[in-house]
Amino acid sequence: MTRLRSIVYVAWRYLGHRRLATTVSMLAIAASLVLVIAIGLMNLSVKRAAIDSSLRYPLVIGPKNVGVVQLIMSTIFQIDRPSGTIPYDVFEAVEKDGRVAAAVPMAVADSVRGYPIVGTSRAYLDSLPIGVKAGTIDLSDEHDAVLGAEAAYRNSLNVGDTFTGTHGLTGDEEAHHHEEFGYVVRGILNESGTPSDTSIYVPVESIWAVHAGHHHPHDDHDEDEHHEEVGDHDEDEHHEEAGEHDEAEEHDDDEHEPAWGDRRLTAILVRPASPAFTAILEREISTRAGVQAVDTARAIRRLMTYVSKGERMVEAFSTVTLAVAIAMVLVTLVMSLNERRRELALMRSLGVRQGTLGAVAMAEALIICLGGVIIGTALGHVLAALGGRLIQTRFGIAVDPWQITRMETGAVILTLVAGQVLALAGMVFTARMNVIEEIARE
Amino acid sequence: MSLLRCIDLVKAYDLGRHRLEVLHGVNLSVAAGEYVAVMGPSGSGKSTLMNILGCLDTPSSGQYILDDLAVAGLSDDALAEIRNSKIGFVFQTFNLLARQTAQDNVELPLIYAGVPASERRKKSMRALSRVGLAARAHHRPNELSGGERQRVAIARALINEPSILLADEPTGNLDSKTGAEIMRLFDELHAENNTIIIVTHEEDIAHYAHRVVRLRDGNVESDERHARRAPAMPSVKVNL
Repeated sequence: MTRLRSIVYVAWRYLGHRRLATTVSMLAIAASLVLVIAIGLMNLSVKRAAIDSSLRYPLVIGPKNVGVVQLIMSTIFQIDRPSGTIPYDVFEAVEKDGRVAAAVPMAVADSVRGYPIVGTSRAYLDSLPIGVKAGTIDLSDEHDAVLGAEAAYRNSLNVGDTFTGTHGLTGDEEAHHHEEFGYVVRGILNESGTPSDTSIYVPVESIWAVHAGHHHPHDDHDEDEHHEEVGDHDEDEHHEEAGEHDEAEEHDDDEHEPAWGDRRLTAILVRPASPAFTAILEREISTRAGVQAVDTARAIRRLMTYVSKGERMVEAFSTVTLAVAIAMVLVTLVMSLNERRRELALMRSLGVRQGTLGAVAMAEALIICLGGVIIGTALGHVLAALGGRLIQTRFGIAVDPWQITRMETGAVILTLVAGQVLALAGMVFTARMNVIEEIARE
Repeated sequence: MSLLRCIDLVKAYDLGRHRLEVLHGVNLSVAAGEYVAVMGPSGSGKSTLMNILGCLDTPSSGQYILDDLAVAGLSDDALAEIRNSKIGFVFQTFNLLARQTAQDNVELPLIYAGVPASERRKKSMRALSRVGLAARAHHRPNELSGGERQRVAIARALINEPSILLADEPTGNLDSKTGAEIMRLFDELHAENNTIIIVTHEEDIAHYAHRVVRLRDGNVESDERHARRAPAMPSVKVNL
């Protein structure tokens, strides 16, 4: 035990002599591990969130001419802004279909400081595997709202509070405020680590009401006009971005795009009664003009192939970083051993065993690698905890910062194995040295 | 009773197809408490003999017995153990670690032996006091004069109370005045019953010893005991 202690002591002292090189080597290893951990956790969380959602609603119906990935991103992750709408009668038709177990309407147009207001049905909220933290799930009135935990917390909203929405999903202060239509908080959901956390659920009818602008007897004329002007402008922009020519032609309206007041939806989530119906429904629904149905699982698989490609690139990148870091440790070690050839020879003459000197070199390599691993994993997980908080706030995707991913385990093992190999290189170096020649050298 | 004995010691090196024999059967016996100078021109084999006596090298044939232990067949680790406990080396170039203080340098043989820090401190201070350097314990080698550095090296050699002090040209890097001081220190150590073997090519230095063994071409040419006849004042010769 005392021998081991003295080996570690001597190794530590040598490292202390080369503080800069030691620190840089350790940090290089740590940095690569931070990268590996951050990427691993990000990936895992996104995948998990995607898979959870796709299991509940295997089909998503949305407007044609919208990219499949965009449709999924906007409906499941509420990351991308939904573009284009479909008529409500699609929903009515799907809901009546005997092969459909459940269908959920979704209309997203507004937000509260960046938290999307999702017009939907009570059935959807009931289907969420999340309980209520406060109040009840009640969307019976147009003005009722049920908030995700994060959305409520960030906007300082409690049960009974009222709020209004802002047109668009950006949370832009300049955007039009729908001040004429207030919502009352009826319930707040538990935190779930899903996009529901950041969502504000309201009855789909209210979305139509807000944008119709004629539903409210209290509205005075001025406000009305104001709304329409701004609304016009906004919808125009929307139209240009989305490029939805089909729909514009379909509806004979004052505006270039179908008004929300005409009972429009951004998407419909569908759970077929049997998995066998998924493909059939997908095909059938997609034959309708301006409408497409997307197999969620397949779309997510596709989305994941993009993610995986990126993942592989980043994986390769972090492997290279790690390799460079380890190479740095090797160079530092060899340089330092070379520098103290004479010293090593002196130690041998003083009766220090060759194995002991090798063990010191080994300990040095291991201390650097282990130090890098400890700093890297600690820092990686702490950063994941901080970054995960941000991701959850923004996108409602839960990141478990303390989870250890396969990538992390691999990287840590790789580093420690490399450390051992380096240590062996150090041993071989000291073993091959000729003491007499070294000590006799002037 | 001899402390060390060499019997027909042969050392040869294989240089490809050639075999270079450096020692051709050296016989030598040194008793405890002796003060021996090994002399000889370069190429006489004195360094090789020194390395074998110091257990840094092993003979090709013959016997080397140190403290009743046959060294010839021992493993590297066993040799290291002997070096650590029985031999104190003093080198021409001091071989101190530049980044460490005098005291740290003196402690080196104890560190790897796993001696606890407090005991190391105590022993190293004692050894430094013995060579008159207690006040310089916390100086680094570059803050010490050549003579002081060699004293630190001697303190390091003494720390484990070795059976033999082996000095290889200990004054080779010192001016003659400082060299004489170092030799007086060896005298004192000998008076304290230490066994000392000095390898040198300088007659002046050899005269401090009580016995001079001369090597030539790998053989013992002469082996003389004499009363010490070192000059009372150091010679004015300057080594550069």
